Amino acid sequence: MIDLIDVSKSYGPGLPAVNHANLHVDKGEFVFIVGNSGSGKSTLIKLLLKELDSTSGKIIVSGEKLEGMKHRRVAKYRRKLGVVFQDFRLLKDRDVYENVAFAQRVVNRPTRVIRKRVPEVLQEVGLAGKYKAYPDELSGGEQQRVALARAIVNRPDILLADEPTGNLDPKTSEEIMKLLEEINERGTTVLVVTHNKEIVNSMKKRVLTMHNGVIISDEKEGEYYEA
Amino acid sequence: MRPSTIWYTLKQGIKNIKRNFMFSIASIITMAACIFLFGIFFSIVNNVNTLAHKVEEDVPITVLFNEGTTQEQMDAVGELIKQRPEVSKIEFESGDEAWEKMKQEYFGDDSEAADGFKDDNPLANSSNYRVYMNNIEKQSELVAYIKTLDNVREVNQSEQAAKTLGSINRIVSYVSVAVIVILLLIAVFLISNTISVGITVRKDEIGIMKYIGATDAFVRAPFLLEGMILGLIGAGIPLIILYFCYNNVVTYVYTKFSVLMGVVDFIPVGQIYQTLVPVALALGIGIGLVGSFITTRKHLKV
Repeated sequence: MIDLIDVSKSYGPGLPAVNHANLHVDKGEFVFIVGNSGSGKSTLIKLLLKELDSTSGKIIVSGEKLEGMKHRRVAKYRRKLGVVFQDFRLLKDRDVYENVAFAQRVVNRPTRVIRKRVPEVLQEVGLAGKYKAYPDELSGGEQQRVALARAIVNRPDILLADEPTGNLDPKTSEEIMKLLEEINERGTTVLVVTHNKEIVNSMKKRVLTMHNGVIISDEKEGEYYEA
Repeated sequence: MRPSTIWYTLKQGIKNIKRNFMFSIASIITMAACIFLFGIFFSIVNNVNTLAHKVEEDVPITVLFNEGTTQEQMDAVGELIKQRPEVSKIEFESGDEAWEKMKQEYFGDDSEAADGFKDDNPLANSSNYRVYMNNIEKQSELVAYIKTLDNVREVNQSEQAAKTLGSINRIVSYVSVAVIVILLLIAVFLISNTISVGITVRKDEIGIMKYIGATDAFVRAPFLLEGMILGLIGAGIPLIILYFCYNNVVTYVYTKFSVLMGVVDFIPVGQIYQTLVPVALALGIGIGLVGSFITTRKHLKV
C-alpha cells in the first residue's frame, strides 16, 4: 500500500529532514510513527500527502508513483487519502453536517449520495445527534470526531493522522484512538504520527521510530522508545 | 459538472462578494466608472462618425472645365454625369454666378473693392457642376470617371469638412482608448485585489479543500465567478445610467442649440445600445474574469 525506497528530503543545506528512509506498509495495517519534534515525522506525512516533493528516492502509494506526478493528478491522488490534524481544521462557519458533506462536494458526489452517506459516517464516529452543531459548540474530542468523519467519508484507502490527540485530554485521546482502530478494522490502512507514549504502548501496534530524519526502529507490536 | 457543483460554486461566489463587501463595492465602482466612460466615448465616436458620413454625402464634387469650353460641351458632360447611378443630383453654376456669389461672400457691401475688377470677371473660367452623390463610397470611382471626360480641367472632392470631422473623431478615439486602457488596468488591479483578499480570508478552507482532493478548477471556480459577477454588475449599472443620460443630453443639445435641429442627427439610443450593451457586458465580465484568473493562478498553487 505504501512504499518508500531510499527517500530523502532536505529543506536546504544541513541535515535532511528525512534521511534515506525505507518503509513498506501493507494494506490494512495500523502504524504509529513516533519521535521527538524535528525527527522528520511531519515531513514524512507531507511527503505522503504530496504537499512536499522528495529530494531523492521513490515513493509509491496505492499503486501511484509520487515522483514526477503531474500537478493535475495530485487532486485525484489525494482522494485516496483521508487526513486529520492536531488542530482539527474544521470550517467554523458551517455545521457538522456541512463540514462532512463538504468533503463529498469537493469530489463531486451527487446530493442524493451525500444525504445518505453523511449521516452514516456521523453515526460511525458517534456524532449522529450533533449534526446541526457548529464546531465552536463542540468539545475538542467531538471536533476531532468530525474531522475523522470528514476524512473517511469518501472511503479512502489510507488514513493519515498527524498528532490527532495532541490537543486532547487522555480519556478523549483514548476514545479517538479507539475510533482509529475501528476504522482500521474496516479495512483502511492507518498511519498515526504521535507523541502519546501511553497510547502507543497500550495499543500494541507496529511502531516506527524516527530520529533526526532516520527511521531508527520498526517493530511489530512495538513500544515508544525515547531516542 | 453536476448541477449541485454549479449551485455550490454560485453560492460560494456570492458568499465571497458578501464577505468582502467593501472591496467588492470598490471593484464595482471602478468597473462602473470604466464602463461609463467607455459608453460615453463609444456614443461620441459613433455620433461623430455618422455626422462625418452625412457631411460627406452632403458636400458635392466640383467639376471645372478647360478654358474655352462651350456651354454645349459643358451640358454634354453634365448629361453624362447625370446618367451615373451613384449621382443623386447635379447643379450648374456659370462663371458669372460664381463671381457674384464670391463678391457677396468676400466683399459684402464694400462694392468699391469689387468694382476694381469691373467687368474683368476673375472667375470667368469657373463655370462648374456641383455633383451630389447618394453613395459616398463610390466617390473616388466617380471622380476618376469624370476626369476622363472631354474638356474637364479639374475635379475637386470637397472633403475638407469630412476630413476635419474625421480628425476630430481620430483624436476622440485615441483619447478614449488611452483613458479606457488605463481604467481597465485599474479595474483589473482592483478586482485582482478583491479576489486576493477573498483568498486570504478563505485560506484555511482552501487548504482543507486541497487535502481532500479538490481539483484546481473546483477551488478556483467560485473566485472566477466572483470576478465575473463583479464585472457584470459593474457594467450593468453604467449602462442603465447612460441610457437615461443619453436621451437627456440629446434633448439638451437640441434645446440649447436649436440651430442643430435637422442638421445634426443623433443616433437613437436604441441603435447605440444594440452594440454597446453586448460590448460593455463582455468587457465587464471579461475584465472580471481576467482579474480573478490572474489572482487565482498566483495564489492557489498548492
